[in-house]
Amino acid sequence: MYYKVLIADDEPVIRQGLKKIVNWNILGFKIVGEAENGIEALDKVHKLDPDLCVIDIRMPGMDGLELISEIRKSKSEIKIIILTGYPEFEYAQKAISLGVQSYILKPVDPQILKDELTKIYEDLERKKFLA
Amino acid sequence: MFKFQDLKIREKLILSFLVVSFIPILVLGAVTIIHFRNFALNSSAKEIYNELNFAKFKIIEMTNEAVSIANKLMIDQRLKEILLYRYKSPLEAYLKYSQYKDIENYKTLYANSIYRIRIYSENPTILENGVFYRATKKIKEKDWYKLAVNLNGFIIWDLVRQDEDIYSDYYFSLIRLLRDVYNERFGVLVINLNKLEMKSILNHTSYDTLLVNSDGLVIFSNKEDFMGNTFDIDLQRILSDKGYTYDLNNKKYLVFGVYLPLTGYNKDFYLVSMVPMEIIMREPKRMQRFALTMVFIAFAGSMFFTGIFSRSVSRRIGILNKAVDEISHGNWDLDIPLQGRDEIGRLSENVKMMAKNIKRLNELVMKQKDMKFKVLTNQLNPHFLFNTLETIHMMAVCNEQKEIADMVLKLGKILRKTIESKGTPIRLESEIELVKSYLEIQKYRLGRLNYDIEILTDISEIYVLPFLIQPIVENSIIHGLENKKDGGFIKIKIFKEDKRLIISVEDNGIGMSKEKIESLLSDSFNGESSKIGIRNTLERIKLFYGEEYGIKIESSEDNGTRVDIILPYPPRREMGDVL
Repeated sequence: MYYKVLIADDEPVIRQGLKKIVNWNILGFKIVGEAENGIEALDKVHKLDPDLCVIDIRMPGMDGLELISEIRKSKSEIKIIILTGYPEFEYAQKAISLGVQSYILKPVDPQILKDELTKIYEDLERKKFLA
Repeated sequence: MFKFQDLKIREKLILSFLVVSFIPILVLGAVTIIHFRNFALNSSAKEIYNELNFAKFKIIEMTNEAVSIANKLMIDQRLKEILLYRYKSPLEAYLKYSQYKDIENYKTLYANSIYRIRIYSENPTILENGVFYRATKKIKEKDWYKLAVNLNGFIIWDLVRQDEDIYSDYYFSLIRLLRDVYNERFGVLVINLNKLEMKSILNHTSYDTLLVNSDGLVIFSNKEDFMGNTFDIDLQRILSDKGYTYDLNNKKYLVFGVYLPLTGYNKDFYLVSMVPMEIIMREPKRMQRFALTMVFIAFAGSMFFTGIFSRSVSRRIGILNKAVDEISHGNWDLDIPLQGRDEIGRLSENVKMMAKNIKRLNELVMKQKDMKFKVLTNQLNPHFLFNTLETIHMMAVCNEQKEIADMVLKLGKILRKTIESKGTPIRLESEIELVKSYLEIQKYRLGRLNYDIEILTDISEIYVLPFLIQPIVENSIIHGLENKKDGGFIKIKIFKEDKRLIISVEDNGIGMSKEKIESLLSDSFNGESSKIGIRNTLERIKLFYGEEYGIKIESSEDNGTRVDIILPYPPRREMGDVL
């Protein structure tokens, strides 16, 4: 049983790379969908009901933070990892207030991503156990 | 060891006040007191002498009247007749007397000066009537009587006890043997001076005044206590206008005297004022107290103003000192709340100007420093930079190009640290991360580089200036290893020694000559960027941590180089006053 992951990034290479950069299955995750903009991502969140979203903070159409606040309206439980090229204080603050689990800088260091995923996995497991 | 220049300005001012002001005030006060004292004494003395002279004049006038009566009686033929006549009966005497009124007249005329006129006669038939008396045996034995007879007509002055009176008493009297030109004696004259008048004359003086004869015997006084006393004073000395100090019955007196010459055989008399010391000193003492009060007020007043003045000066200097302190800590916009155009005011203006200049210079330096970042941050959007790097990274990942992916990742880390750095201290761990990324990239580039990082002390809480180690490592690679054929090795060691944190970077390269080391650390900038890097790092360390810290290079040619970065332990974290 894997936790479902949705990846939202406007660059196909990055979506592709993210799949390869870590071994998701070993970490207990499975990528169930991809989205190349916020609207598509929101749509897929409803359709696929993922446990974790990996979201690029800058996307055309609807940007990452807007997307997250939309997601939070219906799904407050979804874990979220934000990817950003350059951290800006206001963004980070807002992200925290939206209950974002982690904030990873580009280029994505596989080790850091691994560590974050492990943490989220343990978190999800604990929740399942308690439920 | 006391040193004048070590004193605070305030203390200096007060000390110089003591020297410049206190001593003159003291001298002035002392002079004033002495002067006042002498003045008071002199004026009392003057007053006393005036009184004494006046009394002397009056007494001489009295005695002169007595003398003139004596002279008239000396040549009075009728008196001689009356005194020498042998009376057969008292009635005859009575009748004879009644025709002679001269003595009665004198008494009336000179009642002020004269109390009684008496004549002692050896005529046994004389009728005693209060003027004429028989010279009894008792009378004849008296000193004054014998003396008068011996002197044969010379006037003498003496105290005579009149036992004939109902109330016998002493009187200061003129005594004279009466005789005619043929030396025929007809009586001894005694003129008692008017006691009440004498007393009233002496009472016009302010103090106890005595009439003293040349033996020091008190002949007369306005105070009974002194009567009959004898003074053992050298009478010449009391004539001095400073007075003469004399103890009587345990009481101190200042004695002033005037010479009072009378007409007669024993003519030397003195009129003496006895002034109790406490009374004459009363005025000088009051003056002294007044002068002391004035000295005290002057001293306290000037002390007070010196205090205020020195406080104001030291306060101003204090403000300036504090301002300079603030400026030295980087607060250049400080407004110094000092007014006035004195030296301190001008100094503060100059300090303000200096602070302004420093601020301008600093801004200039900061601007130039910022340029480097601005080139990256303004001309190149960091989002674009990192997103592009991520694209390259992911492309490499997709194409299974692990090395490219790794290199891009590390380059991204280095770039991020460079761009995000504000120049403030960062975790030493983060700095080591940066060096690792840098070495990894260099390793890819050169292919023959190995390194080892050894951390021998707890660095979890250690913060250091950013980019301290990287320029040193860069230098090691360029100067130590680049020309070396076989593999290079860089060893980085972090340890604590005494109270210092040492970061040593050691290579096994070709080494450096002494000249090269010197030129690396020297001030002159000429070209090579890595050299500027080391020099720059050295300057930053000295500026931020202090002159005793810095960089030490040990090397011999072909034997590798060891560069020690020497920092305090623990290194300071806050930026504080450094640019």
